[in-house]
Amino acid sequence: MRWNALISDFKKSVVVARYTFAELYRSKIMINIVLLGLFLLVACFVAAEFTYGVPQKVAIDFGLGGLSIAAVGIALLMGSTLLAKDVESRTIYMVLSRPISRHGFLFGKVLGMAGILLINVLSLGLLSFFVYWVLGGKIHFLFFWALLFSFMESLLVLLIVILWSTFSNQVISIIATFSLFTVGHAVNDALANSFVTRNPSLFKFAHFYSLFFPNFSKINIKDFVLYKQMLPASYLIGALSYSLMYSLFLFTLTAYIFNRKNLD
Amino acid sequence: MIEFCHISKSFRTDFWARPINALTDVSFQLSSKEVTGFLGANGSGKTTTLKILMHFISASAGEVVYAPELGKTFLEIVSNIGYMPERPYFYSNLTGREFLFYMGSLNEVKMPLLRERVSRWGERLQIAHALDRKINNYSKGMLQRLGLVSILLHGPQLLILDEPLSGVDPIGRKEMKAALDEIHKEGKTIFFSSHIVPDIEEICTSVVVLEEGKVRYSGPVDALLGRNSNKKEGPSLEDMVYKLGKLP
Repeated sequence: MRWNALISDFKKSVVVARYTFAELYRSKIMINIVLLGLFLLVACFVAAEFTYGVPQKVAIDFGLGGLSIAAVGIALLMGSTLLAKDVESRTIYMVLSRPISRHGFLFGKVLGMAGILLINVLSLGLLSFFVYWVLGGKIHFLFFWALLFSFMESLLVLLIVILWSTFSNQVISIIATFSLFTVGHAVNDALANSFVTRNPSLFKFAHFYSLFFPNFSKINIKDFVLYKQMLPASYLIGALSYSLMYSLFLFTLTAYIFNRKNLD
Repeated sequence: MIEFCHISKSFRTDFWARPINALTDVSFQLSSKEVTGFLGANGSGKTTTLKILMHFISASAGEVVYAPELGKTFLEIVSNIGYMPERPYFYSNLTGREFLFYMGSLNEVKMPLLRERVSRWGERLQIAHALDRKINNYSKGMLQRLGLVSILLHGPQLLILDEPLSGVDPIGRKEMKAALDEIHKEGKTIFFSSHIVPDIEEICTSVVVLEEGKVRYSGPVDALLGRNSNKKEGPSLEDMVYKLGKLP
């Protein structure tokens, strides 16, 4: 009986995801993705022209960096208004007055937005790979891991900004999430910094942060893609598991708050 | 069908401010198969009451009791309710038809039946011609009609409408009132809030009058007006509501 209810709720989440995706797909956000793609294409070629010896590496560096910025930017902007916009326009009342749980609705919204992020990462990523290939580079399996991790990075950002938006306004949600994103990328470098290693309390703090707060540097493999072109499978699977578990934790926490929130 | 038992709700406008009582000891019943109007001035607490009924916000005290015929769990209960919020706005990049399919799918209405009901209610509420247009091109009245169609798709036992006639042109108002009458004749229960007294007087058999978060009257419209149901003489509902509002 309980399983039937869960399956029914999941099916409704898929309905929410489908229409959330359709709504966003037709919004101006897709025009932005196309424009970004064109910009990235031109930037890759221009940057490659200004280098000596390794134009393809510069092109892929630009491509992966650009797609990461675009995906994170879209996740920040979409996620910060995901719930607030629906409450403000009262569309959330139309949906939640149907037989769907609040966490089912939230899951559907996240799933729909994740679809948009996936399209963004795939389209910009494949475009970058194409430029890299045209400039004489060889496509390596790590490239696809880099794309997967870029998607997971944007998904984490999306979930963090949604979590913030359940108890804060849009501006604070964006600033807080961006701060966590920046620190999360710097935390591994900070742990290796001699000033931090010489200061035990600072080192403990950075270590604590890297354990409990989102550590984006774990899923940033761009340097390996560019220079070493190899990483042990255990690291890749570990980093993927970390990002999936952290996403699940963030979703659970957001659903817990959202289930108890007064939708004024 | 639904009983409000001593519902109170207080809000804080900010962290340091003293709480404001939006609702104080609100108790009344909604009878099955009746059209009950929920009357009150702007800010009297009508929308807050409806939000508590739909579990969008929690009450500070009291409870809402739902009849067993509506269902055991809240998800079962809402599958028998059609709720339309005040001034609804929908996903603007979807077409009207897509939005209706979205809502119908959430209520697990099978596709052939859903198509038939979209067509039937779309024609009845004169929105069928615009269903393939994007919602961002709809007027306020069209949005209200679309909202009303969306809550009829799953054949609910109870309709809860928050200011359904606000912003609708005179022809639209007449059509929507006729549609509500038709729905009522099908045996549905309707509970709708309004601050426009003649609308309530025209459609409703019962009325709940709310002023400053307190129930001033709850019962048949005719009893409030002190007249027989077949005799339309005596004071108007507007006069009586005004008098109730003046009570301490």
